[in-house]
Amino acid sequence: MSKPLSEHEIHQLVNESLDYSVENLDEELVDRLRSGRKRALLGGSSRTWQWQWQWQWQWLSVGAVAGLLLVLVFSWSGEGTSIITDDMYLADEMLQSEESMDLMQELEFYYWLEETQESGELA
Amino acid sequence: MLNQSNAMGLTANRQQLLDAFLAGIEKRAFKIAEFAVNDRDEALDLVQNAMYKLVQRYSIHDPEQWTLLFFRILQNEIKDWKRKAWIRGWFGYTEHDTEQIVDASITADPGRLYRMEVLHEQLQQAIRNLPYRQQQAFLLRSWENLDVKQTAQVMNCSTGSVKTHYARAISRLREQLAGG
Repeated sequence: MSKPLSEHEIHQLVNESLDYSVENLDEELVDRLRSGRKRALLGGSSRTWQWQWQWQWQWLSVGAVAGLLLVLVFSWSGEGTSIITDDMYLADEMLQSEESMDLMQELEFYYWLEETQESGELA
Repeated sequence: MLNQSNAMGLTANRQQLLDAFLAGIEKRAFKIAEFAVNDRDEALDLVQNAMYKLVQRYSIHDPEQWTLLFFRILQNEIKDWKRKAWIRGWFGYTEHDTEQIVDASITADPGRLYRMEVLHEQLQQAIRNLPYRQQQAFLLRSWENLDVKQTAQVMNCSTGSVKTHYARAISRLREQLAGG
């Protein structure tokens, strides 16, 4: 059974491997890194900025659709609510109005009077 | 070319310092980013963004602070990328196909090439297999030679977390290399 690697050995192995991989990066990649560095020093943009812009547009469109849906939902439910509310206000106003109550009581009295006259109870 | 960057308010000397600093760090930064995101193009973008932000925001800082600042920016870029990748995945966006880096191993010594290739692939895979935080703690500590405190600053976590991540990374690597 082989002896487990010490921390130092792991360090050494990994670092050698990583250094080796960095030394042997392909030319195209090295060129891209170099040109990226030059752009960064010039304050230029990278593909990511373009990508972020696209990303922002995606979120903007999602937000716009969500906003439109919210407006539709609220406008639809708003109409329904306004009808009910109007009716409720009307009923409330009628019930709360003392004049209306008096009128209703008078009407009830006249109906009762008419009925009793027809049936001859008062006669 | 460097004269043009005077538009950013950098002196020629400072530009040269930055250029030399970035030239010295860009390849290792790329490897660290590539291990984290497992995508060559995305790793390139992350490194370029980190370089851009360092130049834009921290070029006037003491050059001795640049290494920590650069890796802190890169870690933030990687975290942002992972967050966005998660959201893209959640919304059903397809991810890029993972593109493994194939190093151009040009050497005149076939025996060395073979040994290095086998060991290299085994080690690279072992590092890729590490959980993200362990992987980054290990790379920053071991490869970038940052101490525990510096690694904690870069990773925006406590020194205790760095020690834990690092110890677990060593333990996992030991197991994987013994198993390989």
